[in-house]
This record gives sequence, C-alpha cells and structure tokens, in this order.
Amino acid sequence: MKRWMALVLPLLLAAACAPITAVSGKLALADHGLEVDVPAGWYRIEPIGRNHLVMAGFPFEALLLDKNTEAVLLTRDGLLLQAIRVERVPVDKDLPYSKRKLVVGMPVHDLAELEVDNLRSNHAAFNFELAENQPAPVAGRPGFRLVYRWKTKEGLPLQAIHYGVFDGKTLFRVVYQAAARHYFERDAPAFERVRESLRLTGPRA
Amino acid sequence: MGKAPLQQEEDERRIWARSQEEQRRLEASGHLYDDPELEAYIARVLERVRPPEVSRGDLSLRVRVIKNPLLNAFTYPNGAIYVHTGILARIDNEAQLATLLAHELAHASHRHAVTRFRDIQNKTAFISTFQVMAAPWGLIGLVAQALGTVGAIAAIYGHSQEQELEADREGLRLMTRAGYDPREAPKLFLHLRQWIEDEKKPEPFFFGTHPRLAERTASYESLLAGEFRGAAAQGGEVGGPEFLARTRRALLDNAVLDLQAGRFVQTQKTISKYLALDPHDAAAHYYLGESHRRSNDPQQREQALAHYREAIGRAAGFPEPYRGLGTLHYQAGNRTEARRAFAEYLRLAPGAKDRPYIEGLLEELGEDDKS
Repeated sequence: MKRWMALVLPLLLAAACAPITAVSGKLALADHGLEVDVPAGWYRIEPIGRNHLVMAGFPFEALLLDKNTEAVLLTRDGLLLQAIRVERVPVDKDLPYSKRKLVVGMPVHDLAELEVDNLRSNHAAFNFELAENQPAPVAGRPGFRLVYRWKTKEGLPLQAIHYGVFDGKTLFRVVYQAAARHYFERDAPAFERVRESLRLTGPRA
Repeated sequence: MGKAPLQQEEDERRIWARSQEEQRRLEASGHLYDDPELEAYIARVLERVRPPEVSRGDLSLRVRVIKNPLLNAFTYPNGAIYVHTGILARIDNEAQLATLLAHELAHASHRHAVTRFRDIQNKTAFISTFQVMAAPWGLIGLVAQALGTVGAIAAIYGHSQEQELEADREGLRLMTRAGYDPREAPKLFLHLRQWIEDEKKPEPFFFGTHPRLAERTASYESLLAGEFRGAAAQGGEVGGPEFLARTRRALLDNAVLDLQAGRFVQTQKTISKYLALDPHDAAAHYYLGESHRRSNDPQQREQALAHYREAIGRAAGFPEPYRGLGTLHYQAGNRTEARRAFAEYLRLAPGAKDRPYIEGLLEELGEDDKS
C-alpha cells in the first residue's frame, strides 16, 4: 500500500504544480512549428515533462501530457469546463486507444475515420455520439472537422469540436471540448478564432 | 427450499450497494450490447447451470453483454454477470459458454468478492488508491473508469488463487450436472490463449492474460484427469449449432469493434469464423476488405481488393465496398479506377455522410485527369 502511495503522491504533486500562465495575443512555438492567437482571459497550462499528469475530464481526464506533443492547452474557467488543445502527433506515434497507424498521404476522409475509430475505442467515454464529420481547411490545408458528444462516468455531458490536418509527417489536432451546457456554445466562437489563427511555421527544429 | 436467506454483514451490504451504483452507471453508459435475444439465450444457459441451492432471491442473477472486443467476463458480488462481446466471439459452443458462466456463478455464490475485499487490509485506502492509480493509465485506467472499482478489481485481478481453483471445481461440477461435456472446459481457456498469442500484446483483463489462462487450462485438465474422470469419459452436450446461430450477429459486430481498435488479426479471424457460417455475407467480405486495407500492409492490398469485389458481387448496390476500392486505387495512384469507384459509391449512396469528402476527391481526380 505504502509503495502505491509513494508512486501516486509525486504525480499528484506534479499535477498540482502545473505551470498555469495568463496569455493573450500571438503565441509562437517554434519548437512545435506553429503559431496561434490566444483570446484574452484564457490561461495556458504547460506540460513539464514527458508524462505530466493534469486532472481534468475526458479526453483530458487525468491527462498525461507530453511536452513533446502537447503544444497548447488553454482554458478559461478550468479544464473540465472548457479546454482548447493544439497537439502535434508525429506519424510514427501510437494513438492512445486504437492500434491503427497514421500513414503519410492518407486521404482526408480516411484520416478523419481513423480519428473517429480512435475515439470510439476509448471505453471510458460513455454514450459517445459523432454528430458531424466533414472536410474543413486547417491552416490553409485540406483537413477535417468532427463534432462529438459523450458523458463522463459521473454523467456530465461534454461536447467537442475536433479539427485535424496532415502536414508532412505530422498530424496537427486542434480540439475544443467543453461542458455541453452553457460553456460549449459560449466559448466555441473563441475556439474558432484560435483555429483560424493557426499557422504552421515549419518542421520541428 | 427451507434455506435461510442470505445474511449480510455491514461491509458486504456496502460492497453490494457500491456494486449496484457501478452497475447503474454501466447500464447508462451506452456500452451495453443491444441484443435481447442473445441475452435471453445466455440467461437460459446460466439458469441451466444454476444449482437449486443458489436462490435467485439471494443473488440478482442476470447476464448483460458489453460491447467491447477485449477478452473479459466478470461478476459483481450481487451476482450480476457481465460478458464482453470479445469473449463471446472467441467461444466455440454452448458447453464453453456454460463453463465460463458456471465459473462466474461460483464466484458469486461462494461470495468470493466479499472475501477478497476483506482480505485486503485497509480497504478504503486500497480502493481510493486503486482509483487514483488506475485513472490515467492505458486500458486499465479506462476499465477502472468504465466499470468502477468493484467491477474493475474483479475484471482485472480476478480472485485469489484458491478462490479461482474453487470456482474451477464448482463450475465444472455445475456444467457437468447440467449435462454439458466437461471436456470443453479446458478447451475454452486453451483457445483463448491462442487468440491472445496472435495479438502479441497482453490484454488488461483476467481472462486476457496468458498466465491466468494457462492456470485455468491446467486446473481444468487436472480436474478432468482426477475428480471428474468419470464425467469426462461420459461426455455430454456440446451445443455448437445453437450457440453459433445465437452469437452470429455479435460475432460480426465484435469484428467491427476490433477493426476500429486496429486489431486486424483478431478482426480477420473473427470474420473468417463468421464467413464459415455464412460464406455469402457481403458485409462480412466488406469488413474483411476494410481490415486488410486499414492494416496499411502493402502485401494485404490484393486481399482487400478481392474482398471488396466479393462484397460487390454478393450484393449489387452495396455502396461501401466502392469507397474502399476508391481509397485503395487513390493511394496507389490509379486515378481512373479511383474516380470510377468513388463515383459509383456516390451514385449508390447519394446521401452518404462522407459525400463532401468524396466529392472533393472526385474534383481532385477530375482536375488531375484534365492536366
């Protein structure tokens, strides 16, 4: 028992120590090869290691952030209420729930389907429902837009808008999730502005 | 029956209450498999192995099926048994199903979960620590979130070795008494081992781990060579055809879950099993084509093409195989074939949800042709 606690406590402490900074305006991340405009009043949570634990709600429930792939994680009132996430996934990285592999050059409909397969294979998402799957440009490139809903095990309804695009050997995801009531609609326009502002500035250094 | 009703102590009542809460969440999760006829069939097999001394009033005996491709079956302390489609898809006959249900029933009737919880010192700390530990990590974390603590501990860790051996012995007694062939019992676990060896990646559940399955196989073989030797010599009912007829739909649905999860070997094995029952099923050929295509293995490309064509040949007007063909041709740079297949897909499915994607591809392919 003590051994388990010894493992858990440092992780919880690390979660509690997540650097949270108020940001607004242009956020240029040369290391991730992207830039976005952050709306005023939002906060950025920065991962501090490879497996940095942040307690939130699915898909961020007890999220293990990896600073190598998590470029941007923003919230206004707390991650469970709303979060914007920009993620950079190298083509050879395993997906968290499905063993399907990303392939350079896969058609956009196939890439979107792979993302949906991955989400559907997350057995912790209750009542997952895909509401929309259509092509959408992301950073000036052909990408996709998904809208889906699910519930946490406690029954909290959540909703997400999920964009994705391939750039070279990297999948970029821009995801907004929020509590379905009130927060989702309220902050969706701010998210769309973030997504529209996304610029891919080149390969990772 | 003249039997005194189950007397519960305070901690057992708490565990039952917690189990009921977890079950309520699970029932509302959207993870349950909707096939009342299949559940009724499994319930009949459970009723057949239930001994008279186990009263329905003492336990809430019932079976629910969970849409999940992993190998798993587990029992809550109150007797509610949950079986994944993943394990149903790997079972070959009713005698093997009876083995599994009788094993789980024995855990419930012998109150193994309660004893297990009592064995753990400082239970509250264990449970809360388990929840925190399990929360973020991989499949175990997902299971812990989906099933709740009582369900997850039963599903992942099973019970103590003595309790498992007791459930093996009692389960074998129950299925033999019900007239099933006891020789099918070790075959079930041997068979499950072969499935997980194909996947080359351990699964998180008790019934998906090699050592636990090896223990069960050895335990049942030992029982058949000793205490149940006479019953083994006598044989019994196997119940293959009805089992396969009842689980047929679940077999294909589970293959789709495996497909989404990227478990292509499992998908292909399950669909091959399904096609042995119905070789003309166009949907099965389509999904087999999908599994070959989604594997991204160039050596499987021809098989994907062959199964898409087979699906089209079996069901004229079936749109999805054309989309698969179009995608394969597109990726191979066969633009004329890709355009033809995508156009046929949209002709057959004018209201397809992915129409905007396909129209975009057709535009790209058309422009390319002009250049």
